[in-house]
Amino acid sequence: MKLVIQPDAERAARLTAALIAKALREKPQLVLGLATGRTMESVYKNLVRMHREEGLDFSLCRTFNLDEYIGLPPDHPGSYRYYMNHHLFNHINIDKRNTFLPDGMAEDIPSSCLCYEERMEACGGVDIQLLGIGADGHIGFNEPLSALGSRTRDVSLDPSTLAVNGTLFKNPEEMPRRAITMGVGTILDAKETLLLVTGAAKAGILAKAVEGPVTSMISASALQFHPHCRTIVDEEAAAKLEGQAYYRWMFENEPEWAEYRGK
Amino acid sequence: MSTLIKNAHLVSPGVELFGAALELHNGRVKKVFAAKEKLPAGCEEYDAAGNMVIPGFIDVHVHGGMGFEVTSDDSKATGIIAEAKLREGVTSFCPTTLTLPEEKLAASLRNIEAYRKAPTGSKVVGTHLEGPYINPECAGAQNPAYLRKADMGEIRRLNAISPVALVTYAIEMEGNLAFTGELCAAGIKASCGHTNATYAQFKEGMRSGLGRLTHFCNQMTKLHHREIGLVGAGLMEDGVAIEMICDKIHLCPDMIRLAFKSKPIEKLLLITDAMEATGLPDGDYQLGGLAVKVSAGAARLASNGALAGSTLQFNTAFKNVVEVTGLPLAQLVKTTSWNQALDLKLENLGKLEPGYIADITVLDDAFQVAAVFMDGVRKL
Repeated sequence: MKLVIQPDAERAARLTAALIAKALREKPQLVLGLATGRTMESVYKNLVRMHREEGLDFSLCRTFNLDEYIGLPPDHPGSYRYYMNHHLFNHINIDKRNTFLPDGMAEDIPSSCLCYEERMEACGGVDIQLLGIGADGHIGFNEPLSALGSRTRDVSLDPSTLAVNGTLFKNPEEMPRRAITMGVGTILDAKETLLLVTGAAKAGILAKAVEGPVTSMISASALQFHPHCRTIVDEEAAAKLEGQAYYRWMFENEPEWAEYRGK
Repeated sequence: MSTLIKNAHLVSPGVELFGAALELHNGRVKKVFAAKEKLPAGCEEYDAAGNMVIPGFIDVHVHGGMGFEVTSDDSKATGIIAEAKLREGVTSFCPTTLTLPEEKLAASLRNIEAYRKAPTGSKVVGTHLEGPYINPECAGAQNPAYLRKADMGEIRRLNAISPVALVTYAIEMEGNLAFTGELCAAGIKASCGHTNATYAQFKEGMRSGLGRLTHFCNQMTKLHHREIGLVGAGLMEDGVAIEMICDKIHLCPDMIRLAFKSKPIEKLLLITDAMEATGLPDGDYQLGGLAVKVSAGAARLASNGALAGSTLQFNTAFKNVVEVTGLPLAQLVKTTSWNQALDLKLENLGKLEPGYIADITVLDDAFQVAAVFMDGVRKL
């Protein structure tokens, strides 16, 4: 894993978007794994800006989202389909038919999960998977004890997740208790993973996930197994990391980051 | 009140349905019905009689037709051209200017803007400025007398008169790399044309947001085995969109097949590049003030024989690619509308699915236009 500390959340989001844009320019048919949540909103704002101002082209891009609530129709403002349209897809030149989320309205959920995995494979697998981390250490909705080899499936949400995400619903009672998520194993199959973590509230769990032992209690810790994982954080989220000095030294010296330094 | 198009051979990107019906309401596609589904009552009905019902064509490169040029002083010109475009099944188009002095371009844009606000035919979705920042060695049928250095100030002044959708210029000319960035930042599509850039120069432009080639293969660096040029760039770079004049003159059938074989189909944009003789018989015409002779449908400068736009009609272009490539219609309709909509970010155009703008063309078996609907209303 490579870890980069940016001065603030906005610059962390900008760097994350720049890494995605670079990959998309190199491979216009990029298969992009997407995430939702507050942290991601500024990543998407930056991608929209780059589409508008720099001609960043999404016309051949395909996307797969990590997760979706069970029982919310796509036009429900709490659904992740709505979130993605609202924050990204409506503002860029993407063919919405090339944007995929798990089907939270499927009658036969296990087979729709299998279809989702097969579709990812048919597209050649996810090139870059964007990730955030939950208060309980989840990636996707892989709540504590999710198997490190788990695949796309339906899961029940942890009470802490319900408490955090419930605030995004007009009526918190409307928030579904269950969701479909890519598994930890599905996420680890992505060719690259990009974890973005910002804010003081995430400092503790980030340190555990990145510097602690790998455990299914913190599904983000599985990223330690990933051969090409980059973690972008802001100062606040980095506060509890023991290796800060080393991470900064790496950022200043690794040629891979040269074009992003001092921006 | 809703309109119902019945007995349709419906073709939209990724979709081909026989015996389908389309319900149009408030200018949009409301619903698609498969064969034998129960149809709503009380609609105004149009019987497509098994004809092909496809998204209205979007032609992003049109200089003229019916004896008129969009750059003509005649304020009626754009309207006459737009009405002729509608008869070809084109529901949206980009009037395309030539290399002319700024005051002449400004006058053209004032005429275009007047038409755009009160259209009587095909809708204007922004102007295409072809030139004047092109390479004098590749001027083709553009008037070299008015070539000049790229000037974002000029673009801004013109864009203030009427929206500029895209600009064709030569990336290798001095200052045009920076100009690319400025165009992108202003939300105007950058397209490389009338150019002898190397592949390396084009790649540098790509880093500034360039991702498009104007009338592919024509007036651009040929493919050579030691320098693949812009023809090579267009074939090699999946992300680059290419305009194609599929009249079998500007691109021979084998070149059309090669492009369809090499590139993601989403990056192929059919255009006509039509000049004023379009819709009229062979004879003597002009293009931007230069004398042109049209013979057997091929328009060439009287002076040097350079191709001077085409007399291609869009429905014929579609027929040509269907015949030349043999690809499924559900794929080919991307190249006539949907790709253009993605390229220029034209919202809700280019597909016949619920929520999309009901701009629809109906073609018979011979690809002749049987009907055209714009914003859900039958216009032809």
